[in-house]
Amino acid sequence: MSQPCRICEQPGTHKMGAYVFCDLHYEHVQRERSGIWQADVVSIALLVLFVVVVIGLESWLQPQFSPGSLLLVGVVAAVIPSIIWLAFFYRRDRLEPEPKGMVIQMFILGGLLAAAVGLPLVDDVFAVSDWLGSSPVWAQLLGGLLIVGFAHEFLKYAAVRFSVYNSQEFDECSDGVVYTTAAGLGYATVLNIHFVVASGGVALGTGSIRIVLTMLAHAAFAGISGYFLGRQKFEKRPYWWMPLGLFIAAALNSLFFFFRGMLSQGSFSDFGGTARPWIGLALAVVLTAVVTWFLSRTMRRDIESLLAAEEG
Amino acid sequence: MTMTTAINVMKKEIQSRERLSALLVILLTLLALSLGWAVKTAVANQTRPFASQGISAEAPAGWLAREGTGELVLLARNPASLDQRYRILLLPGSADLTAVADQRNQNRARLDDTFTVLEQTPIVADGRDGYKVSYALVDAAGGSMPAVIEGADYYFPMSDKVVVVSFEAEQADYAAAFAQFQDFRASVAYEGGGS
Repeated sequence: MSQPCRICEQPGTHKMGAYVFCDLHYEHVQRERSGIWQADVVSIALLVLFVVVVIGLESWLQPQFSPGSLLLVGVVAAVIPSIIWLAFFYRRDRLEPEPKGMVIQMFILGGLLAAAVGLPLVDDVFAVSDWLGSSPVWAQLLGGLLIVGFAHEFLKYAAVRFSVYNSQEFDECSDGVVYTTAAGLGYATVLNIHFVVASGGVALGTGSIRIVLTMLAHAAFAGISGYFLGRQKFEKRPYWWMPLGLFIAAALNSLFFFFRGMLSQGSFSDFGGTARPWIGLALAVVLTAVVTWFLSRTMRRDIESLLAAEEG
Repeated sequence: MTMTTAINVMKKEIQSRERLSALLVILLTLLALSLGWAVKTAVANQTRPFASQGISAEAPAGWLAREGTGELVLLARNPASLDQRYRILLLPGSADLTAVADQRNQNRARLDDTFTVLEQTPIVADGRDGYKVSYALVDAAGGSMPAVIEGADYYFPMSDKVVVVSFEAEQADYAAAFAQFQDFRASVAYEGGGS
C-alpha cells in the first residue's frame, strides 16, 4: 500500500474505512475497550458512595464551621470526586497502557478553559444567572442550548481537538471518549470550585450532591463529542459530522439541566419551594450510565462494521 | 507522482478536511452564541401586564410581582436581586405633590432612622408633570450584611389622588438597573395620566 498510516505516517499495511494503518495502529484501532463501560459503572458507584458518606458524616457529626473553614471544606469536597475518578482511571487502565500524563493534561486543560473562558463568558458576558432561571420555558431551553450548552461543550471539544487529537497518542476510536471525558471532568471541577467559592461555602450534604451531579453530567456530555471526534479521526466522515456531535452534546446539556431544575427544585412559588436534590443526582447517574453504555455499544458496532466492510 | 508526493497530497487532503470541520464547529458555536444573545435581549425586554385600582403597568416578565390592597397597587421584585423592586402606590392627596412627598418622607424617617432624602425636585417624566424624591436607606433585615439601598419616588397627580411610582436597588446596582425602571415607569397608565 502506498498510503501512510493515518496515525504515525509510517507505511500503511491495512485498510479500514477510508484510511490506512500500520500493523501496530491497525491493532489499536480495532481494540475494543470493553473495560470502559464496566469501569465507569464502578466510578459512578464510588461517587454516589462519596455523597452518601458525606451526608452520613454531616448528620452524625453535625460539624460547626466558621465561614473560612466552611469555604475550605467546600473546595476540598469539590475536588475529591475528581481525584476519585482519576485514581480509579489509573488503576483500571494499567492493562491497556495509555499515556496517563495526557489524560491529566486534558483534565487540567479542561479546567483552565472553564476558568479562563467558560465561566466569564456564561456568567459575566451573558450573565445567565440573572435571567435564565426566571425566564419563560422557551427561553430557558433556548438559552440553555445556545449559550450554556454550546459554550461549555465547545470548550471541552476544543481542549482535545486542538491538542491531543493530532498526536500519536490519539490512536484508538475510544481515545476521543477518554480524553474528552477527562477534559469534561476538569471543566466540571472548576465549575464546582467556583460554585463553592461564589456561595461562600455550601452545606456539605446538598453541596456534595450538586458537585457529583455536575461532574457526572459534564463527563457524559463530553463523552458524546468525544465519540464523534474519535469516529472523525478514523473514518472519513462528512463535514457536518462534528458540528452534529457538538449540537447533540449541547442539546443534552440544556435538556438535562432544564429537567434537573424542574424535578429537583420542586414546585416553585413566589415565596417558597421544596428542594429535592437527590432527584438531580439520580438523573445524572442514569444519564452517565446510559451514555457510557450507548457509546461503548456503538463504538463496538462501528469497529465490527468497518472490519466486515474490509473483509467483504 | 513519487511516493513522498502522494503521501504529502494525502496528508494535506486529510488536514484540509479536518480544518474545515473544525472551522464549521467554531462557526456553529459563534452562531449559537449570537442567537443566544438575541434570546437574552428578548427576555430582558419581555413584560407582564398588571392592572388594579384604575392603574395599569407592565412589569418585567421574570419578576416576582403581585397586586396589592389599600395604598399598595403593585409590588414587583427582581428574583435575582430581591432588593431591587418597583412599587406603585395610590395615596390620598391634593394637587400639591410637594406636600404629599414631604408628609411621606417624614413618615418614613420616623419609622426608619437610616432614611435620608438626597434630593427632591419637580420634574417632567414620560410627558407627565411630577415630583421626584431621591433617597437612601440601609437595609439590615434578614441577618445578612447591611446594604445601602438607593431609591427614587415619582409622584404624579391622578384626579384627587397621587400615584407614586418607586424604584429601589442596592447602591452598586442602581445606575445599571435604572434604565429598565424607566421603561416600567413609562408603562404606568391611569386616567388623566396615561402613557
